Amino acid sequence: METKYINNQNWQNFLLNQIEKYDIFSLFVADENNYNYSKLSSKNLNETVIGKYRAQVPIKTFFFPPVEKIIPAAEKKPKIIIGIKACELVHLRLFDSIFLGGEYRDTVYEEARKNTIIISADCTSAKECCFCSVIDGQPYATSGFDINLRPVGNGFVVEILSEKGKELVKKNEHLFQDIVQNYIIESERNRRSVNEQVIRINIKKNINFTKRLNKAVNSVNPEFWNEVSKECVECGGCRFVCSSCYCFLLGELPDFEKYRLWDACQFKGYARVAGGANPKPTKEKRYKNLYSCKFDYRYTNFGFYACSGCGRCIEVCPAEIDIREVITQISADEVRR
Amino acid sequence: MKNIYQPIKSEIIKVSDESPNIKTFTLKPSERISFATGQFIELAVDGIGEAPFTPSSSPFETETIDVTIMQVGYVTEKIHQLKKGDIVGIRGPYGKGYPIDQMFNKEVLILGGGVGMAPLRSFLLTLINQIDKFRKIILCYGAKSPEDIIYKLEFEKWKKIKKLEILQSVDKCPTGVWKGTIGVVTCLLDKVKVDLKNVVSVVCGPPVMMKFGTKRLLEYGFVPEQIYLSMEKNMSCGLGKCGHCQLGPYFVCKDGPVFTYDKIKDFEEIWD
Repeated sequence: METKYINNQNWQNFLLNQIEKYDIFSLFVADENNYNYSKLSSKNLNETVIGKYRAQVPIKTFFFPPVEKIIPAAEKKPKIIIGIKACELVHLRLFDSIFLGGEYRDTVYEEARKNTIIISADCTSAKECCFCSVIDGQPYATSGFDINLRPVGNGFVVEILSEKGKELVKKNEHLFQDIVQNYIIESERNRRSVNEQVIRINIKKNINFTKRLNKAVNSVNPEFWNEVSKECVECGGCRFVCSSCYCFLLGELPDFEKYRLWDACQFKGYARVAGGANPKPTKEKRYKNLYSCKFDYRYTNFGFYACSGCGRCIEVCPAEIDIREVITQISADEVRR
Repeated sequence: MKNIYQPIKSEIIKVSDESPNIKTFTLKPSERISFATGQFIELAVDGIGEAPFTPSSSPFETETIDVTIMQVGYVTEKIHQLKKGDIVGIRGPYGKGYPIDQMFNKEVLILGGGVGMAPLRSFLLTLINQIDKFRKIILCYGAKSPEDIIYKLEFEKWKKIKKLEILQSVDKCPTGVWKGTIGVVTCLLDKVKVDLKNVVSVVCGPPVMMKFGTKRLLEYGFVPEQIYLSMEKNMSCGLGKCGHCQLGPYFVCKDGPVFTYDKIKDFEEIWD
């Protein structure tokens, strides 16, 4: 992997150079503690930020919008998305496995992925709901990006991973400088510090779960699910903000045109068949399904959890259900048995 | 790049009434579609929606595809309103069908209930086409009442085939016209003799029939690996993408719909 340095001024020049060719989406401050993606223009260039942590809205919206016409599929304009965090890249890895893996490649998703350049960035802080470091991850990206930015001093250490990334940097070579060892040392120190911050947040909340969640999730007492889902109002919010939830419905339009829209396993009709049979008939069963899906089934399929610890589900839940506490309880139950 | 959600337009060339709420539609796709018995297709009604159906015709018939459909929900209600000459969309075939090769030189016990006979008709026609490769075929079929029995005329023809034994039952017969067995389909199993060392069973029907059919086969002495179940879940996209038909780590649409019982017996929702 090639590594360069770019200062803040040159970074802005770099972005300006891309505005005509690409639709560029970058993070902007939404409110005091939140960021969101907006389209970049020469007018708002000065307001863009790299973001201390991930955006409120999940990255899947760029590749798998809430509602999308898929027949005929719209042409996808080349995009650059800037400021994507490591937890989001874990999600994209799952989406790639589902939509591009297996016998059939989902060409609608593939087209969106192919036409997008991903510029990720290290987290420089953590939210109270972040738990990537306690679930097989860390607050900085090591794969899945085209270019990664590590904020340092007055600019960024730039890691260039893919051919797409190399090409983009090459076209703007004059803006990038050779890396200085001190910046690497500084960014490594930042990484360690944020990682420790995430661990501290979770220790403080007594979050402690086994790394073998796949087995534990499916062996807890069925009563457990009644208890933990008691307050769940089945709004589906946690599933919609989750970047690794990919379930969708297909809708039919006249002339055999089609669209798809997000669905969630929390909804009663999710698994129901035409005759009325429903393999997931109760709230408890549906609630259990989301844990089985994330920590057991997708782990069985792909070797990794369908959860990266982004904590969005914690933030959005009106019943204040905390996924970390649930998996901590599951682990404790396994230890007792 | 071919869009995997794009259906192939197909003309309805024949509609046959099978029972008061079941019809068979013969479709002629604008492009040839070949399937293996047990695989399913997604059938789209223009502007209404799609639903999965397993073809009921022989896979050796390549010009047309039969689908036998019970009216149970919104899409099937609209399908039942369609007439000869109407156009529908077809995607597929999807999933894995019955592993016919693994059944060669064995006895095959088919257990079917209601409209579950639709995929089994395709399966049976596949076996009949190469009947010398099987030791014996026994078909046990149950319907709610005599008028709910589908493929009535074909049953008469099948009964004449050597090496094929057919038993039928009805749950009840209010009119008293039924001379055969009255009772749920599993009661027919008391009347059959199979070589347990060299037999497989293929089961398809409503969930409750599948549940008790499987239970009865296990009591009979079948082992889970010998029982093939055609699972019905919400196979919405058919491609292993949309998530609705998940059964444990499997997606019924791509890993099934046919599973041996041993593969799925530990998942609690299989009969729901």
